[in-house]
Amino acid sequence: MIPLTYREPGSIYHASGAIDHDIAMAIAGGTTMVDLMKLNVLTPSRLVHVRDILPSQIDVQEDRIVAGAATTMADLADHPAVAKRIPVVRQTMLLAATPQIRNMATLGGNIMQRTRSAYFRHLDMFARGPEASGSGSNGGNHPGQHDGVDGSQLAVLGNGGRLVAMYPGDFAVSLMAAGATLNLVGRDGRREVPIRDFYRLPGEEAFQYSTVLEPGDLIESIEIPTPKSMASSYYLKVRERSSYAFALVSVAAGLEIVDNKISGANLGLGGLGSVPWHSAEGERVLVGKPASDETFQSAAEAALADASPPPGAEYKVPLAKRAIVRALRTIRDRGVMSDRELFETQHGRTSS
Amino acid sequence: MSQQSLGREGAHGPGGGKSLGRRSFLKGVTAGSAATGVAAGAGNAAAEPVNGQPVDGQRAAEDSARDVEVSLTINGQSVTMTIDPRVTLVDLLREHRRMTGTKKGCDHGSCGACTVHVDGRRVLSCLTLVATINGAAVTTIEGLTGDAGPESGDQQPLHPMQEAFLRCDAYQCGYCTPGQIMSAVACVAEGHAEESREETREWMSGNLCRCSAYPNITAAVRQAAAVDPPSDPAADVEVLS
Repeated sequence: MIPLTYREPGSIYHASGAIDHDIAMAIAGGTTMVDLMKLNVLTPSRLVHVRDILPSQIDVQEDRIVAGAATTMADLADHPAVAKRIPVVRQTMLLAATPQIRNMATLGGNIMQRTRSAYFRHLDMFARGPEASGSGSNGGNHPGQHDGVDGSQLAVLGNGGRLVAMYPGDFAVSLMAAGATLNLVGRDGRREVPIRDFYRLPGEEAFQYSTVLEPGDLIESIEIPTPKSMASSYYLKVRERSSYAFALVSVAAGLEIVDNKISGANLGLGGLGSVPWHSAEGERVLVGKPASDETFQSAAEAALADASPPPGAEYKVPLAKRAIVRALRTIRDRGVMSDRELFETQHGRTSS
Repeated sequence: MSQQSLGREGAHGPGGGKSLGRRSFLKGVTAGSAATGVAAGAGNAAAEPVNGQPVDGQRAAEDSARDVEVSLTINGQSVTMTIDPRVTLVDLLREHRRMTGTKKGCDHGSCGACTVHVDGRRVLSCLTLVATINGAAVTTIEGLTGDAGPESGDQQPLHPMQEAFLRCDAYQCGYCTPGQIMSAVACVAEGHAEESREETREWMSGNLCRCSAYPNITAAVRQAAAVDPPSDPAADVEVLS
């Protein structure tokens, strides 16, 4: 960690004037920032503490839940309205990180998570920064194309046919499915950005996603719509161990079924995209059709139609399709899972 | 370490001269290498500040100008200090305050060994910059029983969770144990230990145990939560030979 100055501004506006997201970075829960600063992957020379000046309350409205950006993951998960009206959001929290980290990490920081790809986290790997994003001497080859290199954290969707890093988070996947809105504060005042427009695919020279945040911009709160389809929603997370691991593939889905016909559908995918993925294609296939296995299969095929897996990650395409079908069948056949059922499903076992 | 250096450091250590408990003995032995540990702990090369003091007698004015003043209540005791903003809570506890009960495992939020309570919630002290929790109340394994005087040494009363860990043999090497216990106490307080065994496992999954004492840890947590009656999980093991 390089020497740095530390500031605690008295208001969001002071904070906004003090950060540029580069050498002057905002810190709240610190769970990603401190980790990456220790690795010298992030090297801000100024830290601006924003947790205490951002809102941390949860406001329940008729058609949405508005959560302050400094709300902890634990507090959002534990809010009764979240569990009841949009259970997939609670489930993304319970299946992410650990109880300790969820007590620290804030929502604003959560959706800004950096990739977990080793090529970003280790300075001795050549593909960390923009300068090394598949522009190697052999025509754009990336370490993922060599034997023995981990492609599990490389993007399968939204990669522009290149080898770029995967977005690792869970919560944002449910926000993409729900169509949430982010309320931003910047140097020119406030503005709203739909989360589906918030993330930018990695550009030509970039190894991972960027966002629309300008220097000085802070996420102030998150508006999560709660349509009927999200009242029966589910987060299926497939990972290499049954707890405390990032997703290989995840599905955030919500279904409203009336007389065996799908009248509303939400579909988000994690572990696949360079950004948290909203599958408008999958949703289009679902809406208006019978809630049958065949419909679910068609939706899965549509959702993965544009997949271009890097070498070594081809397995993710069939895995994702099966996960989508399984998630949709689970909602149709079992309804909303209790925490106990969720954990038992994740762990693959039951107990007294 | 040679017999000679053991004797020297023991004499200068916290327990020197009196009957030497295991904990005091280990602290005395490690004191000699603390400067090295602190330098590494602050994350950079050799000349990191220690407790506001220079390690090698040289410290640039611009470095000290970055320092921040922070007040904490650690195990009921108020402390105010001036520190580098990069100092994490685990380093503050272990290297500055010489409270070595909290363990540093991975130092990247992956293992849970450094778990402490901040304002009553379990958090990872390795990912907590002290500057960001100014004014907070911190509880460590040393303060779990509320009787954490430095003189109480090995004679402190045990917390029911500590008793349960002993009863259940919920460790092997013991390195993750302080973090496990701090997490377990919070897990019970949150009400998560009273649910199904699978849920207890999940709510304790932020604490890794390289010895894989998980079945016994789960037993200890559930016994301390009074879900299961106190018993030694090995009591009904059948010896075949």
